[in-house]
Amino acid sequence: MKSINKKSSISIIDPGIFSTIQDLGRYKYQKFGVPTSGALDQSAFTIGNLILGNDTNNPGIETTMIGPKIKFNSSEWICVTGAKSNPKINDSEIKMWTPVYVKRNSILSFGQNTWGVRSYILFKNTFNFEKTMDSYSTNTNLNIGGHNNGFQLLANDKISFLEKNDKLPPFTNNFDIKKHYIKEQDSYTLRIILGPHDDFFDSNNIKKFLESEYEISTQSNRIGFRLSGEPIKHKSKSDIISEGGALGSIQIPGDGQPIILLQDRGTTGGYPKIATISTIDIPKLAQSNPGQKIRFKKIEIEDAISIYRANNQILKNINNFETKDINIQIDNNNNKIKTYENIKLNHQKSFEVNSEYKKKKYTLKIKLS
Amino acid sequence: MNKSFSKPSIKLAGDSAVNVDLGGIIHPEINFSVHTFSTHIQKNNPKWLIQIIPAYKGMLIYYDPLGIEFVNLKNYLLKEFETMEKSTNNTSSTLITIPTLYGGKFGPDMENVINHTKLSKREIISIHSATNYLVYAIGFSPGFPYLGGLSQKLNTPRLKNPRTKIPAGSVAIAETQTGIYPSPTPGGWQIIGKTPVKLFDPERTPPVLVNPGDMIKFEPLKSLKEFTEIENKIKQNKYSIRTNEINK
Repeated sequence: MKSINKKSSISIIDPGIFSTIQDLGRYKYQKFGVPTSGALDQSAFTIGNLILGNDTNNPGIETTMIGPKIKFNSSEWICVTGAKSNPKINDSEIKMWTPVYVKRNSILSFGQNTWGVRSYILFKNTFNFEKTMDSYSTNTNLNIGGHNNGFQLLANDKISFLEKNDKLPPFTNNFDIKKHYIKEQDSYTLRIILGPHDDFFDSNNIKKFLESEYEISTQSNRIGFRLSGEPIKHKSKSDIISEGGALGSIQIPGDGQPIILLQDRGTTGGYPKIATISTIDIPKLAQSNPGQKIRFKKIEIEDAISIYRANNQILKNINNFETKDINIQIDNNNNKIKTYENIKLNHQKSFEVNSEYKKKKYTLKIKLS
Repeated sequence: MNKSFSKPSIKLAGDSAVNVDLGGIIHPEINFSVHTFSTHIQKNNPKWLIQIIPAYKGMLIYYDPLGIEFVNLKNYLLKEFETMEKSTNNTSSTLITIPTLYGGKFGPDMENVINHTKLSKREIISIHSATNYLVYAIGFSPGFPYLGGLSQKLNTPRLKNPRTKIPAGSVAIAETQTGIYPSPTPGGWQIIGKTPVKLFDPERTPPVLVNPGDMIKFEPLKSLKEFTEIENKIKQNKYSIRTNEINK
């Protein structure tokens, strides 16, 4: 029997520096002036959901610099991805990029980041609150979405889950951080495609833009990252008639200092955009601290698309192999586990599962309670 | 010169979007062709289409690069533009009446406008509320209408120091533009009044009150009492916005 546990929820003890609920974003409302929002590091977000065997759009929590302290009022499967944020359950460190079973009454907390800025806490379960305009994503500037009228997580918030979710994450996956995620050594080079307004700049200024190093300013947030470095001069005008701006577009305002537009950007704007960052390099920015120096590398659209496609294929392979649902039954009398086809695990209540993942092998310890 | 339906210029906006431009200037005919083309593509609803953001003179089309190659996308757009039915029936429009209380505490910059234009408050209200303004686009913030057609007589520069938060419903002007702030956002326009009408409501379907191609007319309210009455009716869902079909 499926149990509906009304207490299936988490409580926020300490929200950390800035933590918000995000999914992949809200795409159908931009024509009404509504920003997409959504996870800044869509790569870490998507991988976390794939590892848990979720729909890639299942909502999670995006942390910034220092993550939150969260009490689990129910046992839940989670996966922490993104910045190396040294997550702990109670006093024990837990692994990132793998499903972790968090027991009821445990506390998830984070240490100092040793790399990156934003971590993602993904859940096998799904939050139990109404989406706003088809998305769970929070935009704190406009107070849209999220669990609490567009606010970030605050101390004492309680967020319920849809149901007591007994489903297990896949018992194995092909995830390999070296293959599937940002390589630290090339995290400061962002591949760009020139345009749409590169004709507002002469070749000297485009050259300057491509050859200079830019520092990420402290005035950087989910709307956009401001850069400081060699100013880029416009041929003449430094404004355009307002029009839509794509994710990752690099606009050059009058002072010549580039601004990269990110997920919470306004839907339209009036500065010329010299270039646009390739979609798969946006996560590199999401994981860059203010003060970090970055460079741009020009690529052609054909290359950008083949990189995009290859990346998509690689992600698909994370849990693309022949598996069946894990079907097991517990023989209480003999303290034995039997496996059967077509018996859903989520009918079983009285056991705890620890799992260890090692490529395709796994060990499953089941303790009868 | 017929400004509408000139051949689109298509430019890359990264690997997942293209910028389609239908003319270099702000002009009602160009804007009409933008919305005609954008509606046409949305009706076709190709599988790779994610979202179109129409603006004054062009549009940004977000697409799924796994669904179509850029070259094919470009050819598709050019072909559709050539073959679509180019309605010339750009003569009727929906006129939406926005009740507005001018001046006083809701129009803190009315004095600035009076000083700059050398017009009286009454003249400013009468000029501002006499025009039917075309909604060129929705953008900047949720439900914000970019309006065209402000009288040159009211041309007033932006504030030197932009406000960090403009109250929702504020009616403002800047140079040749006028607009209504649907949600509290920073802004540098001169605030001359306020409407109790909600231009954006995420709980409503669709969340916006006005669409590109509509016209807006401001109707001056006589008193704060009248403003509050409408505000209360809106809260109780008993207020209906006045709309008319008009000839342009």
